Formats: sequence, C-alpha cells, structure tokens
Amino acid sequence: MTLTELADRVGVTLVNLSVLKNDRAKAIRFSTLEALCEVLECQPGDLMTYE
Amino acid sequence: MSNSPAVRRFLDLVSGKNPALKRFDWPIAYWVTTIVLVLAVVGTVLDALDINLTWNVTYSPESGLHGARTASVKPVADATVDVKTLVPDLQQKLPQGMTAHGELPVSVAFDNSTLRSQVLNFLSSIPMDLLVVALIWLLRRIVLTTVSPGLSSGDPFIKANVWRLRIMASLVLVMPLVSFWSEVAVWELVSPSVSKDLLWMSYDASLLPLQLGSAVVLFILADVFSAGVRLRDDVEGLV
Repeated sequence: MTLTELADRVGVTLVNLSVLKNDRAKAIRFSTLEALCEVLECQPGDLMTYE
Repeated sequence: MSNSPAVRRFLDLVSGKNPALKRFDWPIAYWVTTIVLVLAVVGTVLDALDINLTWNVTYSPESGLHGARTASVKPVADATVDVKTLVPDLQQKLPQGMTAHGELPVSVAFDNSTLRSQVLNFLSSIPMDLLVVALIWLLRRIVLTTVSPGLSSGDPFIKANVWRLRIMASLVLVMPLVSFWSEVAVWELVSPSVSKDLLWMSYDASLLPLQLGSAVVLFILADVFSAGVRLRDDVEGLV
C-alpha cells in the first residue's frame, strides 16, 4: 500500500501522513488513530512506543 | 439558500471567496499605509529643517485676494496676550466712550542663530515625531501581515508581530516622558531662568491616562498574539 492510498483510506492529507511518519506530529486525534488502526489492522501500541 | 446570482456574489464577497476582493485587498492596504508613513516622514523632515508650510492670504483693493504658500520659520510656542499689553496706546486712539479688551493670539518663533537654540528647537519636536513615525511603521508592518496574502502568508499570529506590539507598547509608554522633555526644551527656549514650578504647572497631562491606557492595551494585545502563536503551533502539529 502506498502512502497516497493510506492517506486516502484513513482520511488525512498526504502532508499530515508525512508529518506522522517523520515524528513531527505534536498530537493525534483519536479519530485519526482509530482510522489508522482500522486500515492497518493493528493496535495503537503497534504504532507508538515510549522511549 | 437562494440561487440568485446577486445573493451568491454577496456571500462570496463577505466570505472572501470572491477573486476580485483578493486581488484588490492587499494593494489598498499597502498603498494607504505607505502614504500615511510617507506623510509622517515628510512632516518629521520639515520639522527637522525647521520649515513650516503655511498658506498666506493677502487682500488689497487694487489686486484683490491672493493666496500663496510660504515656508516660514516654525513657531515654537503659541500664546495669548492681553490686547492692552500688545497695543498700549490703543485706548487713546479709540473714540470717546469706547474701551478695548480681550486677548490676541501670538506665535513665538526664535532666532536660530546659536547652536543652543538650534539644539533646543530640534529637541522640542523631533523626538515625538520620530516616535510617531516608528509607531506608524510598526503598525504598517502588522497590517500588511494581516491583510495582504500577496505580501505574506496572511497570518498575523507570528512571533514578529508579538514583538512589534511589545515595541509599540513600550514606545507609547515613553511618550509622556518625551512629551515632557519637549516641554522642557520649549521652556528653556522661552526663558532659561524660568522657575521649575512653572514648568510643572504648564505640563499638559491631559493625554497621560490615554497614553498609559493605550500602552496597557497594546501589552495585553501582544500577550493575546503570543497565545495565538502558541495555539497556531499546536494546531499545526495536530494530525
């Protein structure tokens, strides 16, 4: 799945997806997190880690 | 919702979707603020050169009414003097039974031949003029960031505007001091031996509450813009 396809299916712009991917996001909406988990068939913990 | 073209055009206009509005809004703001700034700078330069442009109208029965713009020495102070002091023999010239009373306006100008009088004359108006020019320049920069998508991002919530507002507030805060300093310079010109009590009595403090109030409002506005910048940063990082 390309980033463009993922952005379309999650319902965010490619720019915002790039912000998320490159760790430049300061906050994420629950609705965005939910959509990402639904499309990628994963849990929030699979997308985020605490270091 | 009405499908009338006129209503649609009006809604486009007020919502900023009308391309004609976007095309014209920034040049108007740019030129209006530029003209105001240029006028302020020209006024300051004329003050610095001690030039006062006046319009003199003369009348004579032979040639009629004539007007001419002349550059004269700038009056430093305006005063009113009792007519009997100015024209002591006026009463004698009047017909029997008539008396003259009242005051006449007098403009006081100075011989600018000495360095001391030149410096004092300069100090009496230039600092305040420069303050006004600085304020107009800062306000112009803020206005242009706010309403001119052609010149900037059109976003007023930037750190530069916070600092501009803080500097404006500081300038307004020092205005009463500069105004007092101008008064000192004028009094030194009028009479170097004048009592300092008279200086305090003559100081016009009527604008002081307005100036201090404006400074407080500008400082508060700077804080509001600062909060706006923080909120903008947060929103830009929200996905």
